[in-house]
Order: sequence, then structure tokens, then C-alpha cells
Amino acid sequence: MLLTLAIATTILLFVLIVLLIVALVVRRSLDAQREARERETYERLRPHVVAWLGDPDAEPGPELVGATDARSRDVLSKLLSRYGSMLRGEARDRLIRFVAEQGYVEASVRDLRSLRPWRRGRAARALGDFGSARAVRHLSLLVVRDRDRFVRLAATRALGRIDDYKSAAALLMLLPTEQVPAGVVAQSLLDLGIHGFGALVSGCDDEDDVTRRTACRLVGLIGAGASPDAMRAAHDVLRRRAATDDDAGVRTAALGALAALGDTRSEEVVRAALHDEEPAVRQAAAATAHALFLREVAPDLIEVVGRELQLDRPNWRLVRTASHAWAALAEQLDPDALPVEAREVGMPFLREAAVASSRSLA
Amino acid sequence: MTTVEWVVLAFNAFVLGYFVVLNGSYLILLYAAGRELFTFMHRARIESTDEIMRSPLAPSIAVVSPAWNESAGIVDSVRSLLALEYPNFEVVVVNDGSSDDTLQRLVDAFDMEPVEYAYAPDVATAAFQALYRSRTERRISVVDKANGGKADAINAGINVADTELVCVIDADSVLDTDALAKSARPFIDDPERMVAVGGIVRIVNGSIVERGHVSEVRLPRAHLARIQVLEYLRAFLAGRSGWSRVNGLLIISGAFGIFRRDIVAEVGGFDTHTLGEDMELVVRIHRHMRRERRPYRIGFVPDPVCWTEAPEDLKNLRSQRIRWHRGLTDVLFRHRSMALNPRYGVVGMFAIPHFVLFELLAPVVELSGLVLVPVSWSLGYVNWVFVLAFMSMALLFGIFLSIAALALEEMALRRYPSVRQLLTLVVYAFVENLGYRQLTAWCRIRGLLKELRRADAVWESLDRKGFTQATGSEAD
Repeated sequence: MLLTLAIATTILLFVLIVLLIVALVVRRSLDAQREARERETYERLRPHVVAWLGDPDAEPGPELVGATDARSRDVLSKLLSRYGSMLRGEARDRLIRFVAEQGYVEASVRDLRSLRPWRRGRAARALGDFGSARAVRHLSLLVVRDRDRFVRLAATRALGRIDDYKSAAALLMLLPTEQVPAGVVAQSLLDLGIHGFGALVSGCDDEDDVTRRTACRLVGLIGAGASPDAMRAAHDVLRRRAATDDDAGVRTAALGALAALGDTRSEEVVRAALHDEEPAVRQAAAATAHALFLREVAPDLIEVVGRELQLDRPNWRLVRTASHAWAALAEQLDPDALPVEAREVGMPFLREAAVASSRSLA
Repeated sequence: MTTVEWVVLAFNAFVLGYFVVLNGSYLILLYAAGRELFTFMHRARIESTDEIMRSPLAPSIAVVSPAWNESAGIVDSVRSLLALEYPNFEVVVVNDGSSDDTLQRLVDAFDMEPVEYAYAPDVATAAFQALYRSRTERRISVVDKANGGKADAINAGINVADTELVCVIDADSVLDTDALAKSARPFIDDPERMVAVGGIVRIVNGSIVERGHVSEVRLPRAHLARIQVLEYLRAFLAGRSGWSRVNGLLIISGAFGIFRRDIVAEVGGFDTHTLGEDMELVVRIHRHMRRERRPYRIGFVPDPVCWTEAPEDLKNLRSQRIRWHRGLTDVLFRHRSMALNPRYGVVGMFAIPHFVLFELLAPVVELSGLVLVPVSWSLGYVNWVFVLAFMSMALLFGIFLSIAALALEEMALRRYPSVRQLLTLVVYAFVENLGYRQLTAWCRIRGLLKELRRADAVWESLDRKGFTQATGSEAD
């Protein structure tokens, strides 16, 4: 019995090995043929696409309008998707019109219902590259309903490439869910840029911690291009969040955003944050004080350093950030400002900070 | 039945049972790896690294490169690191008390000067001497410290790094230019839980390296190195992909791994008293996170590629394998309390027992079986058909695993472009099992015995031949 089993297994293994080898070679040959055909179509169509998109007055030639066979349409769709992800402005607007008129958007929307996840993902990606506003509704449904995680990710990224305020709202609603990681949603909101700014400022007051954290951080990264009114609203909400939010992550993100937006009127908020119970918030406050050049909080900074150095396990990153900020802001670098018991450990940090500060001034 | 006969037959039954369980376990791992790579392939079709390349949200990374007497290649190595494509990274070279002019070469090449720096280590290290920064390239710093070994040097680099992630590499590793971007993606996608990511390590021998990056992938000319190409594919694609699928990955290669800096500091950095410091850190992270009941993931991404030079002669191969097995033995012994402990989940219940049974002890059983099964036949305890069937089955299963790994590579990555290369690797899947496997099993037994005797461990390095040996590759 054992012997029969051993012999049967040996034969089975042998057959499996032979089949695997044959499959490897056949698949490689078939792929090579398919790739060669696609490459040939790609090389034929690419110059026409480049010529059309490069000339604002040009109309798409017959090679592009007349691409009717499946392979040409597939390759052209990939080409347009690729250029759609790279282009901005007038050329992108023309591309968006072309793909809508020629039915590429419609075809991609149809592909969103495909049984194959990779096809749905590819269609979602193409819709983002095509920038079609009418795809927002389909993609918004896909990000919450698709059973495949990577399709949801592709749809999320696609929403970030469609310059429409409705995309921002759809993306912000995703943050409290676990359908898509917060990092991916944040990146999409960032891609959306100023189109999503209003929604992000509102998001800073959302009841969900992750949403507030993400929104505060992104307001800081995107806000430079906002209108003065929108900027004022952003400053107000960020100051309020930095001062009063229950979540330390939100306070940290809000402080970072205030630094990024150059809000020099946030001195009181920064001073209070330097005495926050969370080291990460204190560190963010020190960095913000440095970035905004808030000279008035220099005494608070050295106090932060002194207090931290007296702990059993000081947070060295906080000590270093606060020391550098202090060295840059204090009118006089007085090491005696440190408590006596912290001087021995603290002096090397202050020396390092002082040298770095004088080098940056030089 | 005599006692001798009973013992011999019992051992034969044990070897057979072991063989069945071992191969069953590998088949399950292969299945998990296939699923993982299928997911990866599906993902690769719809994602690119473009958005990471231009994103201010990309986590900052410090590439820590420990160097000890690396004078000959250190400048080229750093230049290739600086050419990596990632929006937010720095390079920290740690000169671990080199007795040659490693430090001076770096100082001259990158116009470096010592700077005032308060060294406040999160992880204790041998004496810090100075921090150098470049006047012209803000992304590079050099830590000069007293010799303390590779792990100690990495710890010093981690202390100095002011980034969210640290990428640990060997000084002679060659990375693909987009390796950082590809391996940062899991941290972007899952920033709360992802704590470490390993990438695939491939054999660089024979490939053409230009300006510190592999420009053309070729197979090595040396037979030993060719066999190792397959061996690495099997270990990384079939092994680590499979373990990653169930969050049971125990090894992230010291040649290329990315870790969350705060977590490495929290667990105390790399252990300086083991030869398997890369595996030891990963197991300790598992232990720490499970004990604290914090959700976490340790992942493997098959695409970010690190290239490393494989030994082409028996002396270096032997020395490398003995060292690896000593490291494995030490790590498994240190963390033995995790084995079969439900508190440690998949790692305690499956990964560690698998490594003990099928990695640590496999060479002992394999070589004993190889000797005792024919002996049993010569003594007339089993018949020749059984011996032949058993030996063939063992041989074919080894070949099957290698070909399956090659199929995974072909399905998901296809880094060897020509059919000829593919067929050459198929041939070596057969060759590998006729002598090479038994030789490495013997080296592993020696490693096990050496570790049990606790022979002194030192930071050894292979006799490197360098990457510029393009002419030493296959003639294709």
C-alpha cells in the first residue's frame, strides 16, 4: 500500500514537473507574441497622439478617431490614460472631451462591472486619468462597494484625479470607514488640490478623529493657493483645533499646518501647545515656533528642554527640535536658562543648536 | 524482529512521516505564496509609483549603510544610493571603526566635515566619535564610531536618523532605483499597522551594473551562483511571500529591509550578540507587538529588488551557510518560549515550529535519511523498489518546488527576459538536487553543531569579486 502510494506520488510529481515546464515555455511564447503586436500598435498610434496633444489647434487625426478594432482601441485607451495622468490645462481638457466623445469613458464605466477585478481596477484608473466628472458617481460607489481591496484603492486614487468638488466630499466620507486606508485617501485629496480645499476646511471640524487629523494636515499642504477668505477660515479652524482638540494627532497636525501656512498670529496657541501633555504635540509646537519665527515663545522653549531633560527617559527628538528652535529664536543664548540638573546633558544639544543656527545665518 | 531491525524500521518510518509533513507544509506555503503573488500581480496592473514619487505624504526614509573596511567600494555604493528615486530620503553611512581609509574616502568624495552633534542614543552602541555632514549634498551623513559589529553600526545609524522609516542595507547591496518607492507603499497604505517590510534579494553575479544599478539582468556563469539564483527565488517567492500572506514572516533580509524607526527603537534595536541579527529583530518585533496586543503587520513585497553578490566558490559558500544556520539556531533558541504559545498567534503556533522542524532540523533528517534508507536496503530491511521510489519522490519534490518558484517568478515578475535564461534555470532546478542540496545540508549541520558549541561569532564578509564582472556572465 505504502509502496503503491510512493510510486503514484513519484509519477504524479514527474507529470506535474513536465506540465509546469511546458506551461512556462508556452506562456512565455504567447506573451511575447501578444506584446509584440501591442508594441507595434503602440508605436503606430503614439506619434499621432503626441502631435495632437502638443498642438492646441490640431484636431485628432483619422488614425485616432478611426481606431475601431479592439486592439487599437485598447492600446489607444492605455495611451490616453497615460497622457491623461501627466497632462494639465488645455491639453487635458481636449483629451477629456475626446475620450468622452469617442466612447472611451463609456467603455471604462462598463468595465467597472466586469467580473475580473484587474479589469475593474484598470477601468477605475483610466476613468481617473480621463478626468471625466460623470465618473465620480460610479467611482464613489465602487470605493465603498467593490469586494476587491485593490479595486477600491484604484477607485480612490482615480477620484483624486477628477477635478470636481464632489470627489473631495466622496473621499472625506471614506476616512472614517476602513474600506480604504487613510493614507491612500489623503493622497487622493492631495492630488485633488485646491478643488477640495473647502471640503477639507469643513473636514477639520468633523466628528471623526482620523478625518480631522487628515483634513488639518492637508489644509496645511494645499492651502498656499487658496483665496484670502478661504485662508482666513483655515487659520481660524486650525488654531481652534490646535488649542482645543481632544485628539493629540489632530493637535499635532493642526500645528504643522499653521507652520506650513505661515500663520504668525498663532503665538498663543503655540505657547499653550508647548506645555501640552503629549510629547509629540510639544515637538510639533517647537517646530512651528521655529518655522514661524515666534521670538516671544523662546523662554517657553528652553523651559520645555529643561523639563524634558529631567525625565528618566527624555524624548531626544523633542529636546533636539526645541533646542534648535530656541537657538534660532532667542536673542541671547544663555545656557544658565537650563535648570542646573539638566545642564550636563542639555549642553551638547544647545551647542549643536547654536552652531546649526549660526551656520544657517551665515 | 531484532532490536536493530526495529530501530532501523522505526527510523525509516520517521523519515517517511517527516518527509510527508515537510512537503505538505511546503505545499501549503506554496499555495499561500501563489495567492500573495497573484494579489501582487493584480495590484501591479493598476498601480504605479508615480504618485509616491511626487507626494509630500511619502514617509521619510533613512537608508542606513553599515561599513567596515569598505574603502574600495564605499564611494560608488553611496553614489548609487543617492541616485535612488524617492522624494524624501537621506543616506546614513556608519563607519564601524574601519582600519582602512573608508572614512577619508567618503570625506574626500562628498566634501564632508565633522559637525557639532549631541549623540543621544535611543539604542545603546559602541562609542560614538563624530558625525560628518556634506557641504554639498544635504542628503548624506556619516557616523564615525568605534568598532562594534554590523548590528551595532546599524543601531548607531538608527539613532542618528531623523526619519519615520529606516531602510537597512548591506554596504555592497545594489538596489533598483525605485526600490524605496515600492517598499514604502505598504507604509502609506497602512501607516498604523505596517511596521516592517522586506523586499526580494536577487543574485547580481553576471548581471551588468552601471552607475550602481543593474542595467541588464543576466545569469551568472559560475554553476554555484546559478543554483543560488533558483535557491533565492524559492526562498523569497515561495517562502517569504507565503509567510507574509499570514503575517508570519520571521526574516527580513539584512541586505534590504525597511522598518518603522520608532518601533525598532522601542524594541531596543538590532541585537549585537547574534549572527542572525536580521531575523532576531523581526522575531522580537513580533514578540513585542503581540505581547502589547497592538495590531501590526510585517510584510514582504516581491518587487522592490535588492541585488547581492553570491559566493562562487565552495569555501565562501560553506562559510556563508554555516553562519546563516548558526544565526537561525541562536534566534530560535532565544525565542523558544514563543513556540507553540497561542499568545503569539500564527508566529508562535506555526511559523516558529515550522522553522524549528523544517529549517533548523531538516538537514539532520535529510542527510540521516540519505544514509540510513540505503543502509536499510543493504541490510535487507526494506526492498529496493521502496528505496528507489522514496529517493525519486524526495528528488522530484525538490525539483518541483524549484520549478514552482520559477513559475511564480514568471507569473508575477519575469526578471529574466529570455527563454534561454528560463530554460537554463529549469535545468539547474534538476542539477541543484544532485549534490548541491546535500552539500548545503552538511554545512547547515556544521552550523548547528558550531552554535551548540557556542563558537565565537565575528562579523565576517564574503570575498567579494565586485559587480563589474559583466564579462563573467552567460554569453547571451
